[in-house]
Amino acid sequence: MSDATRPRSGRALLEVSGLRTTFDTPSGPLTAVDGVDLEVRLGSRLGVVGESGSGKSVMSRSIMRLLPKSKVTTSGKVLFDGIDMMSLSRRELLDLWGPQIAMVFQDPLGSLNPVMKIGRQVGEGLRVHRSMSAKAARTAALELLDEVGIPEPQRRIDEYPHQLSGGMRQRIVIAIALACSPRLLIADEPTTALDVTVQAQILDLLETQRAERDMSLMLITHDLGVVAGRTDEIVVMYAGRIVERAPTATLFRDMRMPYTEALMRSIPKITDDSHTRLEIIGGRPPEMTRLGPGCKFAPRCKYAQDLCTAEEPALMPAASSQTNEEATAHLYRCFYPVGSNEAAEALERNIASGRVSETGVVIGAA
Amino acid sequence: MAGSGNAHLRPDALVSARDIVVEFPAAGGRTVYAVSGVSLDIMEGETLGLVGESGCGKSTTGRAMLQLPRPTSGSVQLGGQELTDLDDEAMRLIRPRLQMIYQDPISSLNPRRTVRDIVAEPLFIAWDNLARRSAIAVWQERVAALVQGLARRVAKPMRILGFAMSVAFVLWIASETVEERAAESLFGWTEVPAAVIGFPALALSLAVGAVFAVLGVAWILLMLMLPFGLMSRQFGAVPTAVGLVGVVATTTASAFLLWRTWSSFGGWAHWVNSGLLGTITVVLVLWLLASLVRPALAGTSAVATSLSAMVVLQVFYIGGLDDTPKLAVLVASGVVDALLFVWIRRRYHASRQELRARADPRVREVLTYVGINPDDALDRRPWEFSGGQAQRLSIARALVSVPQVIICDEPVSALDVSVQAQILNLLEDLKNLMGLTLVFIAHDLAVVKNVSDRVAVMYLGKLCEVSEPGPLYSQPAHPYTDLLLAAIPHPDPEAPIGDSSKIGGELPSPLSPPSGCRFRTRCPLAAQRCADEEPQMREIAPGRFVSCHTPLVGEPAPPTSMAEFSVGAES
Amino acid sequence: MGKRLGFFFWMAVVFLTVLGLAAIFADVLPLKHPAETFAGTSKSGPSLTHWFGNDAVGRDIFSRVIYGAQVSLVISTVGTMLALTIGGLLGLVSGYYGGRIDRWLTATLNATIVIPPLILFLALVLFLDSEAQRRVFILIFTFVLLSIAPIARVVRAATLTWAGQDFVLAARTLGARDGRVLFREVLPNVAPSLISYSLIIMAGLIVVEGAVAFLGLSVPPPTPTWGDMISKGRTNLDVAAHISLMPAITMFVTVLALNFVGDKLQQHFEPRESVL
Repeated sequence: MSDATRPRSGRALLEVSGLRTTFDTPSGPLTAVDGVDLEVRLGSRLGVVGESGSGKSVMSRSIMRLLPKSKVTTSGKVLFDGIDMMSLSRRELLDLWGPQIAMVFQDPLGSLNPVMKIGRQVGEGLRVHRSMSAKAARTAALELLDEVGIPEPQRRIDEYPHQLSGGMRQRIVIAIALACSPRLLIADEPTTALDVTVQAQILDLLETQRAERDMSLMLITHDLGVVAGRTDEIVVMYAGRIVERAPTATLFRDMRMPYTEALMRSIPKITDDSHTRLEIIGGRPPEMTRLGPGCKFAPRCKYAQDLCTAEEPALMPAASSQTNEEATAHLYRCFYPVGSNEAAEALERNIASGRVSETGVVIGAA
Repeated sequence: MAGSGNAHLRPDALVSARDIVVEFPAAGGRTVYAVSGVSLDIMEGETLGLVGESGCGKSTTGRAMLQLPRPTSGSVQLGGQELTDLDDEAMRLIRPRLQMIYQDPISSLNPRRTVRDIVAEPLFIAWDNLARRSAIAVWQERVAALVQGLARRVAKPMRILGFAMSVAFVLWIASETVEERAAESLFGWTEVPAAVIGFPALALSLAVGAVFAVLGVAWILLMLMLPFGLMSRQFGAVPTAVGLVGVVATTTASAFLLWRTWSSFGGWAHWVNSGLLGTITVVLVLWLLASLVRPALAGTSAVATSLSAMVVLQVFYIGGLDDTPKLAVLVASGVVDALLFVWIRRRYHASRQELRARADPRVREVLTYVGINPDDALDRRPWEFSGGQAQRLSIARALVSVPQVIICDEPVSALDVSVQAQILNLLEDLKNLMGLTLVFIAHDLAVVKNVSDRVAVMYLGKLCEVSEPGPLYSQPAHPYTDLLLAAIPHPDPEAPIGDSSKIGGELPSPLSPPSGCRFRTRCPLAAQRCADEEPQMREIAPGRFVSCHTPLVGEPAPPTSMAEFSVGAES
Repeated sequence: MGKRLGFFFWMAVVFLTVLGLAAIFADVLPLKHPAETFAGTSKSGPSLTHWFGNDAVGRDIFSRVIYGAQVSLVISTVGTMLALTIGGLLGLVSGYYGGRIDRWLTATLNATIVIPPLILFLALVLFLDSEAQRRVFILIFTFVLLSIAPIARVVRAATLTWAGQDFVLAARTLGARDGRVLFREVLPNVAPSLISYSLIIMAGLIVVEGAVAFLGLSVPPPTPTWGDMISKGRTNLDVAAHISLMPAITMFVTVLALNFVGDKLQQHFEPRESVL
């Protein structure tokens, strides 16, 4: 795969450290993103994996500074190519969005203006940021539509979003995002609303466009399958925190976080026989307004010990990884990492104490 | 593909759908060909996976099996019984056996009801439907019993009073007219001696008037009480003779009042006033008719009749008051009415509580089956639950009526990844525990493979391939199945990424599906024959059925006519 | 996690309740007679004995405002309730059944919207009510006729949304009858917006009644009405503004309170927004 040839280290385009976003809700403060550190290197692809409520979308919006001002507080540091995004004014942000960072959302219909022709929507960014004439923008839009694989762009350019299928709409959204050749594209669940066949096409489109434009990509999804073959590095989020971060191949081969393991095992696989018993994760994602101390996954974790519920583990490097480079690149947040002797002993203790069933399901979590 | 044919159907299936066609009218007089001749069958205890892209008609097929909406044509049999012929009423009695689970667990549960009621609702509805069905028979029995056991009924003082009051009221109205007539004759028609007409009339009216004076207050009280005489403790309420008399009496009285009002106000000039009263009277008469035609309705209709009659009387009474605080009286009587409604509702609720009590053990049982603690959940509302738990509630609701078949329409696609497996395992366990037959509709091929005994692939309203999951996934026979499998992203970085150029194109519009094989516009193997001739379902290997002229497994379809024979021979 | 309704909501509710109770029990309360003229008090301003002052002929304005509330409240309440019942039912039926029923009902209701309310009212008064005896009925009839369409539209829109939810389909797959589906599944979800909207309609009716009274076509004297009082007071606006002002303020506050309560309820009942 192209992964092997891609340079692992490069200048960081986006650096996020200590990002923390808190919503003021009627039931108390809700810290949706808590202390996230990550970086996207020039030309690389970062996958962000998490379930709904894990804070992955809030994180991307915090980075983009798209969240409303009222009842939301964001702190931490976001450096985009050395510029501190947090200190930018509204005006400066507008200059940044489009030519520097662009975003693609889950719902293509919701991201398009229903009463504006497609051509104008695609050309809008060019007219604003590049001061193009309407005519030049239209020509550029035609080209973009062609690039994102819209058949008959000449005809489509004068249509409205509702005249297109879901997949076509998402291509338009991508065309709009690509219009000003951004250096970083944040795609937030870009294929969740689409069929599996269309999903494959859209993901391929994102990849070819990214490679052509030497753009960096942050791909946010709940589907491990989507990020597996299409990212260089993956960040796994749970309850607003990064719980594991590793180069893609390492993560799938040598995961340390019990949550990642459980997630991986609970997905039905196409290669398994029918009626293969799925390994379930007991319980459900925690309520973000009522987080206890300790590891947030502990109540559902089959390895969890008293220590886990008392104290929250920090992100630690994977010491046992084969190479030094991997050790620094692979971080996880667990006292009893998967594959360690401690974890095996912990699981045995849990089974003995009846907290976990023989099949490895936490009893009473549900 | 997208072919038709019934070669894959088996005898003795529990559910057997043949040639289902579902078409919807679209704007501009066009037609959406949602499902065009799909045949499926499901053996008892089997899980049929129905897979395809969105818009392929898989959900519509599932709903057509439930007759919601009824298919445009085709046949659906459940245990040998034809469902498409049944009228709505008969279908209602079948419905408990056919249940459904939905994609969005939150939207499939009414946010304003408690879990207790949501899960018990199938029982309430089934009991209600059963009771209605037997109500007419019961009513006939009751009338016979009434005739024989009149004494027993008469012994109930409230009902006697009710009967007496109704009669008294009618007589009172009558007497008023007689009184007027008497007055007219006294002062108008001098040629007729007063004594001849006037005296007996006056005497009669005085007598009746006296009765009315004594019972005046009791009349209002009666109107309050009457409904309770009619309220059967059972949900299949049945009218008694007294109830019917009450209904007749009040309706007649209202009609009479209407006529009087009409004439006294001088005809059309006060049609607003009369019209209001007329509307109420019409409603009363309709209630009466309804209660005669549908005896089961009389329980509640009698309540409504009596109450509305009472309200009308109040308005007239108050309207006739002079120099009194009309508004205060009106509001006070309104408060009395409101309290009465509340009281009746409480009575009604008591019976609802009985229903709840009856349903309670079963509700608790199914909640336990689906892994929800009834003590915590019963009095909460759906939005207080997470998606996974809400889906469990939805499953509990489907289970409570002890169904044979459950149609699961994308039951896990709206759920978090970590919760999907719980629901899939739960469905599997319940199926084994209760001997359920499942139709599992989903777009996720891996999920479908995990739960299914047989998989059917759909494309644009037609079936492509029906087979056991093993061979279908390892060696897809239909080019479309192959395409679907190629598109799946594998959670494994080493796995080759499918070539999406092969996937090309999107689903054509169901408004104008392609001729011949509906998949041909995207099919890499498409030939002229695919446009000319619709492929039929045929067996290419034991238990493997495909509708394709040139499947990836097995022999190409033999040509069907001489004209095409040469084409087939050449290829 | 209940949303707070807030201080002003409860203020408005208290005001409306007090006004309503005062109007209902006006005959029982120690109020001055609304038609009684107090010698030497003509056009005098508010005082301890006459809280809102006196009008041109020396009648007690406070008492007249309370009695006037009877007319305003009866007309608006009865009108709204009738319109609510009829419009609500039509909207439910139209939204739930759709198709031809929906098309016909919507067309008919839209036709009623184009009728100018005052002209309809005047026509009815002219043809039906030369002696002003049944003015109240005509008023209510007009109001009902004109409020049905807006209410039916609101209900229809809400019904369309709710009837599309899966739980409605679920009820039908259980074999529930249309009546049961409508009243047990759909109506409870539609009702909140219906109730809050009807308060706003009610406020509208009070204003219309005022306007009609200003033309001298509302309930005839001696029964006091707010609109009539405002209208009569305008000749003395320069010397004794309170004669018009007091009923006008009361009407203003009542309408404001109704709108406010309606809006607040609407917000309160809105489906719980997800916490992101």
